[in-house]
Amino acid sequence: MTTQFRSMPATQLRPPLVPAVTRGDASAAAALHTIDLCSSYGDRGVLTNVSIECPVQQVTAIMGPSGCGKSTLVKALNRTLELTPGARVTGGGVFFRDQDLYAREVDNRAVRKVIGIIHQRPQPFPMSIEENVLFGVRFHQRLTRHQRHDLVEACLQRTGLWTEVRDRLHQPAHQLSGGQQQRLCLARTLANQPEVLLMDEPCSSLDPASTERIEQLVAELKRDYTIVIVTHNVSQAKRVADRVVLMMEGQVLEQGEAEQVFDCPRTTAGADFLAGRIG
Amino acid sequence: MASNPQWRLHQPRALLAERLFVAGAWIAGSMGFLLPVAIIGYLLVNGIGVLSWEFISAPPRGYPLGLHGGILPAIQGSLAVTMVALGVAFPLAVASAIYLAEYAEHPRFVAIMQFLAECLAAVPALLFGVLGYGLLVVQFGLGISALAGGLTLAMMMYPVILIGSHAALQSVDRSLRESALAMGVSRAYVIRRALLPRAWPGIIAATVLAGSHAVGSAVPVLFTAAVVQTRSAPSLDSPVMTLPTHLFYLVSEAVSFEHAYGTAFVLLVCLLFANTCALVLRRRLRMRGE
Amino acid sequence: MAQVMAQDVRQLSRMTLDPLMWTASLAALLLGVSTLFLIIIYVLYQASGLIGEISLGAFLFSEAWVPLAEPPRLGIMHAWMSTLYVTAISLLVAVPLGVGIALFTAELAPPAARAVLQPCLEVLAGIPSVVYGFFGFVTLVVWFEAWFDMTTGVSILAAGLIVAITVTPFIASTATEALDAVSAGDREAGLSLGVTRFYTIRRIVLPRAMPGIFAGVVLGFARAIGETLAALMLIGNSVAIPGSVLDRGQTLTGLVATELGEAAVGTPKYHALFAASAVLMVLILLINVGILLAKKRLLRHGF
Ligand SMILES: Nc1ncnc2c1ncn2[C@@H]1O[C@H](COP(=O)(O)OP(=O)(O)O)[C@@H](O)[C@H]1O
Ligand SMILES: [Mg+2]
Repeated sequence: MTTQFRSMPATQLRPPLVPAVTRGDASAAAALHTIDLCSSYGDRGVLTNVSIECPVQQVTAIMGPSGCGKSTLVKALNRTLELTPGARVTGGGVFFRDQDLYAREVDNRAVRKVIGIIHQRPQPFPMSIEENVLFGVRFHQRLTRHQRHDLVEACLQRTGLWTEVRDRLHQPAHQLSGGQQQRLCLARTLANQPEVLLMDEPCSSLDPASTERIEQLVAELKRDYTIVIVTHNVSQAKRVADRVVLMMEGQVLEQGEAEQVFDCPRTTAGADFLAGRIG
Repeated sequence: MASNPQWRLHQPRALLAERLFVAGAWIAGSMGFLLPVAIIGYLLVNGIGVLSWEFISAPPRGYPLGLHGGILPAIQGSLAVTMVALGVAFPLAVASAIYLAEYAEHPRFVAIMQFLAECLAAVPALLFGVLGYGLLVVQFGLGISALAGGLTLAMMMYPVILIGSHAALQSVDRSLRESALAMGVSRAYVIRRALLPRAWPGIIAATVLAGSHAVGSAVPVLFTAAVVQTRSAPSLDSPVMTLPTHLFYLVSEAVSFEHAYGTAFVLLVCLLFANTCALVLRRRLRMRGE
Repeated sequence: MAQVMAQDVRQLSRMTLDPLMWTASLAALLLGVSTLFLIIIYVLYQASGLIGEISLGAFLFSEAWVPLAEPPRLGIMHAWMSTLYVTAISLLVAVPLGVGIALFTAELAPPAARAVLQPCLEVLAGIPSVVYGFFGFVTLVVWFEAWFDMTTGVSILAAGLIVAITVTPFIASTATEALDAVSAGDREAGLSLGVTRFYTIRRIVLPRAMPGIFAGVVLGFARAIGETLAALMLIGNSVAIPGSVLDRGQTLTGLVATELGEAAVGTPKYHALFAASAVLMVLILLINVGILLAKKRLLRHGF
C-alpha cells in the first residue's frame, strides 16, 4: 500500500527519492482519471464531460488554446478549483486509483497533499528558502531537526537547487531568480511527498534556460511521480510528453499516446492546433 | 469500500486550531455587526420617546436649564459653526487638492505635503481646541464666539477634505486629462470642465464626512464657541450652544437624562443621514470608476 | 481665421487663468498645511512659559496637580498614568477585536456579510465621542455599580472599554485593507499544499499584511491617547494617582479639557496645560514620523 510511505522516516528520503508508487499491480494503468467531469464558474459552464487518463509514471500533457479550460481541469484534479470563489465541479468525478476524490469522506486537504500542483507564476512565501521547502511538511508531519534538514537537502537536490542555495538557506526566498523560485515551488511540493504532480504552464513566465532546466526535471521526476503538465507550447509537449490530451472549448478533442496524436491527429481542429493555426 | 485513512487529515491539533480560528473570526465579525446596531438601537429607542415638536422648536427652560423645553438654539448653533467651518475649509482644501493633483511638479513635494496632511488629520481634536482657544479666543480677541469655533473646526476639517479630494482627483483617468491637455487648452480649463465634474462625488463625500465629524465634535467648540445657554439667534461674534456640547453639559451636570437621550437622538439622526449620503456618493463614484 | 482666433483665446486663457489658479491653489495649500506648524509652534511657545516655574522632571514625574496651592503644584503624572491605563485597556480589547473583524471580513465572510459589515463599521466610526461618553454613562457605569459594588461606576476601566469601541473600527478597517492587499495567488499557493486556512493565514497572509496591520494599530494607539470626551465623561476626573483600573482618574486630554477654560491667561497653570498638550502632541507626531520612516524602510527593503 502507499500509506507505508508516510510512516517512513524522512532520513530515508535522500535522493533518489523512494518511488512514490509501488508498481506492478493491476491498477498501474491509470493513476488518475476523470469521468465526465463538468465544472462551472457561477452559471457559466467551463468543462463539459471531460474524461481523461493519466497513467502512472508518465507525463501527460494537456494542450489547447488559451481559455479552453486547461487550468480549470488541473485544479479540479486536486480539488484546488474550489478555492476560487464561485467555481464548482458540477458533474462527473475525479478518481485516484479508483477512489472518488469528490466523495464525501474525502478531505480536500488530504487530496492536495497527495496531488501537488505547481502554478504558472512562482509564488515564494514570505519566509526563508528553507522554511519555504518545509511549509507543507511542518503542517503534515512532526519531524526532528535532523530529519527536516535532510528533507530540505533532498528536495533541493532533487530540483537542482541545492548547490545554488546551500549557503543561503536562511535568506528570504524572494531574492531568488524567477527560474530558481519556480524550482523552489517544485521542491516544496516534493517535500509534501505527493504521488502526482500537476504543473500549470510552469515555464510560461521563465526564460529559455530556466525552461530547459524545468523540462529536464520533468523528465527525471517522471520515474517517481505521475505528472500532468499543461502547456500551450507544442514543441515543449513533444519533448516531454508520453501522452497528450487536446482540449477545445471545455471539451476533450483528442487524447492518446504522444506520438500518435502528434503524428496523425484524428480531427482537423486538432491538426490545425498542432500546426499552430489555432491558439 | 472502507474509507482509506490516506484521505483524511491526521492533524487533530491543526484541525482544532482551524475550528477555533473560524469560531473566533465569526464571533469578532458578529461583534462588528452587533456593537453598532446595539449602540445605535439603544440610543434611538430611548431617544424617540423624548422627541416632540417642542423639543426641536423651543429653547431650553427650567432650572437647572435644560430640564424642560427644547434644543432649538443648539441645533441652530451647530449649524452656524459648521457652516462657518465649511465656508472656510472647503475652498481652501479643494484648491489645495487641485494644486497637489494638477499643478505640483515634484513628486517629493507632493509626498511631503501628503505626509503633513496626514499628520494634521491625526492631530487630536483637543489640540485644535487648545490652539483655537489660545490663539483665536484669547490672543486675537475673537472671544468665545461662533466665528472662533467655526475657524477651529475649519482647521480640523481641512486635512480630511484635502486627502479625500486629492484621492478623488487622482482617481480620474489619466488619459482623459492628457487628451484634454493635448488639445492645447489651459490646465485651468481642463480642471474646470473635465476633472472637477468627475471628481465631484468624491470631493462631496469627503466634505460630508468632514462636516459630520465637525458637527459631532464637542471638544474644539467647548472652549472656543460654546456656552450653556443662549436665547438669541446665532451670530458670528456671540457664543452659541451646539448639540454635542449641550449633550455634554446635560450629562456631566446630570441635568436631565431624558433630554440627553433626545439630544443624542437628534445628533445621531443627522450624522447617520450625512454618512449615508457620503456612502451612496462613494458607491456611485466607485461604480463610475469601473 | 477662426483657427487663429481660437488660438488667441487659448493663449489668453493660458496667460490669465492658469497663473492665477496656480498661485491661488498653492497659497491655499501652504496656508492650510501651515496650521500643523502653527499648532506645534504655538503649543510649544505657550508651554515654554513654564520654564523656570518647574523642572521637566518634576512636571512629568514627581509633583501632584494642585494648581490652587501657593505656590501652585503642577505635576501631570496622574494624568499620563491614567492615559496609559486607558490606552492599554482600550488596545487590549480593540486590537484582538479589530484584527478579528478584519480577518473575518477579508478571509471568511461571505460577500453578503462583508457588504453589511463595512457600513456597520463606518457607522461605528461616525458616532461622536460625546455620544460614546453618554452611552457608556448610561450602560457601563450602571452595570459596574451593580457588578463591582461601586458607589459610582465611573472608572478607568469604563473609560478604557468605551475608548476601545471608538478605536476598533479604525483598526479593523486598516487591517482589512492590509489583508485585502495580500494576493489571492499567495493564499491559493499555500492552501494547495494541503494545509488548513488557519495555517496559511498564520504563516503567509499575516506576515505579508503585518506592516499594514501594525501601522493601523499604532495609529489606533494615537487615537486612543487623543480621545478626550468619551474618556472624560467616564473616568471620574480625579487628580489622585490611580492605583487600579477601578479607580477614578483623569487623562491628559481630560485634564486640559477640564481646566483650560478656567485657567487665567498667563498663569503657570495656563502654561502647564499647554505643556500637557505639548506632551500629547509630541507623542502623536513621533508616532506619525515613526510610521513614515517604517514605510520608507519597507518600500526599500521589501517585506
Ligand atoms: N475565476 C474565474 N471566474 C470566472 N470565469 C473564469 C475564471 N477563471 C477562468 N474563467 C473562465 O473559464 C474559462 C477557462 O479558463 P482557464 O481554465 O483558465 O483556461 P486556460 O487555462 O485553458 O487558459 C475561460 O473562458 C475563463 O474566462
Ligand atoms: Mg491557464
